[in-house]
Amino acid sequence: MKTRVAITGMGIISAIGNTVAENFAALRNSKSGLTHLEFLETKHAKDYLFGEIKQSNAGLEQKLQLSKNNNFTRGALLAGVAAKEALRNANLETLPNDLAFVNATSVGGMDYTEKFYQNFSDKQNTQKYIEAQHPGFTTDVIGAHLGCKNLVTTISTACSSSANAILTGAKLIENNKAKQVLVGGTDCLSKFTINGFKSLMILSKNACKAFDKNRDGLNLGEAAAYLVLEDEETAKERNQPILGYCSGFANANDAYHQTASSASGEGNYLAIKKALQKANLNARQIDYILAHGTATVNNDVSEGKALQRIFENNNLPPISSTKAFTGHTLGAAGAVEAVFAILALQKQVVFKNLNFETPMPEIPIKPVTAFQSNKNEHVLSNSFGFGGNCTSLIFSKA
Amino acid sequence: MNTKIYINGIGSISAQEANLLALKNPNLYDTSILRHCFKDFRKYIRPKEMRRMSEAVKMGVAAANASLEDANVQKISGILVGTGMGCKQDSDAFLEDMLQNQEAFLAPTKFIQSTHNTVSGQIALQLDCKAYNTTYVQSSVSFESALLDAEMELQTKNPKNLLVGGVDEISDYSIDLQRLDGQIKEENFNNLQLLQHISPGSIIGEGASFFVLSNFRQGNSYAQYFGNKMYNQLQEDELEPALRNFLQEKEITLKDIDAIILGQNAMLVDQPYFSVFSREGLKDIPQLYYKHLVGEFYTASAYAFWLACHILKEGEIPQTCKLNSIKIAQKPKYILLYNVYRGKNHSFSLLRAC
Repeated sequence: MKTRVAITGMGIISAIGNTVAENFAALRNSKSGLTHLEFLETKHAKDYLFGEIKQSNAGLEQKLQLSKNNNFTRGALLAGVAAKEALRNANLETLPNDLAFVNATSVGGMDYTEKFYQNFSDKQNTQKYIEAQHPGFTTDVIGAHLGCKNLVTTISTACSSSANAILTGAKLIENNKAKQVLVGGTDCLSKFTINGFKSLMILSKNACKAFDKNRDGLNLGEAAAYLVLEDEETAKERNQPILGYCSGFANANDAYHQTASSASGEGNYLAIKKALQKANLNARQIDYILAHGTATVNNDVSEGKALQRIFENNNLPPISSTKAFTGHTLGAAGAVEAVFAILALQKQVVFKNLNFETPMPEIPIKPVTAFQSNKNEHVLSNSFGFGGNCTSLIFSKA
Repeated sequence: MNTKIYINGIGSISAQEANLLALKNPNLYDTSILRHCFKDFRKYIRPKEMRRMSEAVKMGVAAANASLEDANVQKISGILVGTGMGCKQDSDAFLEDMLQNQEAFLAPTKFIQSTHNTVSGQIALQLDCKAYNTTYVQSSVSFESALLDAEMELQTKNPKNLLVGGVDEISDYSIDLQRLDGQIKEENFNNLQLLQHISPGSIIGEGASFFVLSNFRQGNSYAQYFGNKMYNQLQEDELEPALRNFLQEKEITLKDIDAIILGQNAMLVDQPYFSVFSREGLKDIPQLYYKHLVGEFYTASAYAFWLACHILKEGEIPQTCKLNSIKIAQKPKYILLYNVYRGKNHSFSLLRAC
């Protein structure tokens, strides 16, 4: 019998709050964090809506009490804030020596790379950021700040990155490779991703409308979110309250196109199916779905098709996308929504799918229209990314 | 680790030809940038597909296919890739276009292919493989992270084959930045003389080494994969105890190790770690190295893994890889790999003869 993977801590910073409590308050009040940009310098600051965290890098540096000559990029700063909240929540501020750290990011230190790329050579004080171009650098910086010395690694599978970090962390515990694992992800806004998604013509000028007939693309956001996964017995031995369990996790590949999802949502379907099998649950036992729901024309139909196949006869439990609260936070999204899933289990609620009006003609999904109470035992969370990467996680009530 | 894991197929692309015989007369370079020497991409990739592929994708897809061919495997249950930099060429190209054109007139192709999991995604697409697919990007333990995940994925009674590899490419755009950062040696010399040039940087390389890892033995299995251990940070005096602990976990001792393959890169900052292996107790173990042949890159250790597979199967030790003059046992049983880059992301990996 394999051990259960308990969740004993969580932390988050996103456009809707700097802590778990602040994020929950915004979800409860159905208050979106989407705005024009104030901090990131880009030509497109006022063209689109973004989930920007309204704190300067200098302010975040101060919050983390960093020295002037630190080499933190914005992703590392956000991660520092969220990871510390998670460790505090798990009563692991004095870091256990063998705590493993599985991080995720897709942007990494690109914000500083794009800022200094053309003049690294004349500005010596920026050269400490040259290595920031590879994502492991961001993780090294956070790991060193927290004091992680042993197993430290990073996953980068685009928009499913941190869902896969949670999956790997859960496997480390099941395989007795670690007793406690800090898992999650961080991604900041950058010109690179804004222009990339703009060139793909899937950025929306409006607040995104997941699962709506008139949806016209996604909003980018920035966030960091972390969970402490722990072997259930270890948590019980130290009398640490358990917030929930990660009971199912699976990854599959759509093997259809580098960026687009197949019309049938094959990869999505396989990931959800395998996650249910792993959790030893049938679809009827899922009480709530936190969808990937990016509000691109392509994603919502594919995801809808996959859900339709899993939940026969369109018998869907309550479903919401929270992307219109935080924006699509790319590599951090899986961990952000894992925190929301745990909150849904703890508080026995479901969140509003903001901006929904008209069902899609292809699949008439009607997402949750108001924050409300709901009896939740098991919550499904989906994350899909470029490269056909599809990950589904199931969280269960403590 | 309960289930025994075997390496049943291998494929490698680097600055050297992928066989031990060729290492009798290795490719020589007089520059600090060692590009791969593979020419036969058409064997694995259709020309139409190839046009859009960056070097990392081409190398990854070709090495992956070579390893599947070698293992005579068609169906795999997962693709696990380690890459320090991912698709650096496309990423740099999109970045430069964006900066030069001041965020206007951008085509999406380079952006689409800039994500770090492009190689694992493209392999899945080419093989129509809908199974587990992941990408680790942790500096010099990227490949080792993929190996650790593979070990966990293979803990099942059903026969299972996984494709596990490491890949990194050189990007012309950022060579100057790496130089500025002191990662590349300033002087030019013959690559075989690497160890006579201890200085801040190293010689840099690129490549892809892929393996079919299975939870069953085949007639042509190369070796048994015996597990690994990663340390994000280690002081030099912690290295030897960490190594002994790792071996103890594997229920063997230093006496059982027939050879150690070191990631010696001639970088000043890493010398304290490599010099630990010249101490009493360790210096009498045969030691090998490889970065003079293929250069330093985040997944160079996947080449060392490839080297260990060949040595364990064929019993031949390439002369050019010998770091000390200690004679290696006729039939080596255990080979240990140690790697580090810039004092961080240390790893031990262990392989055993079948």
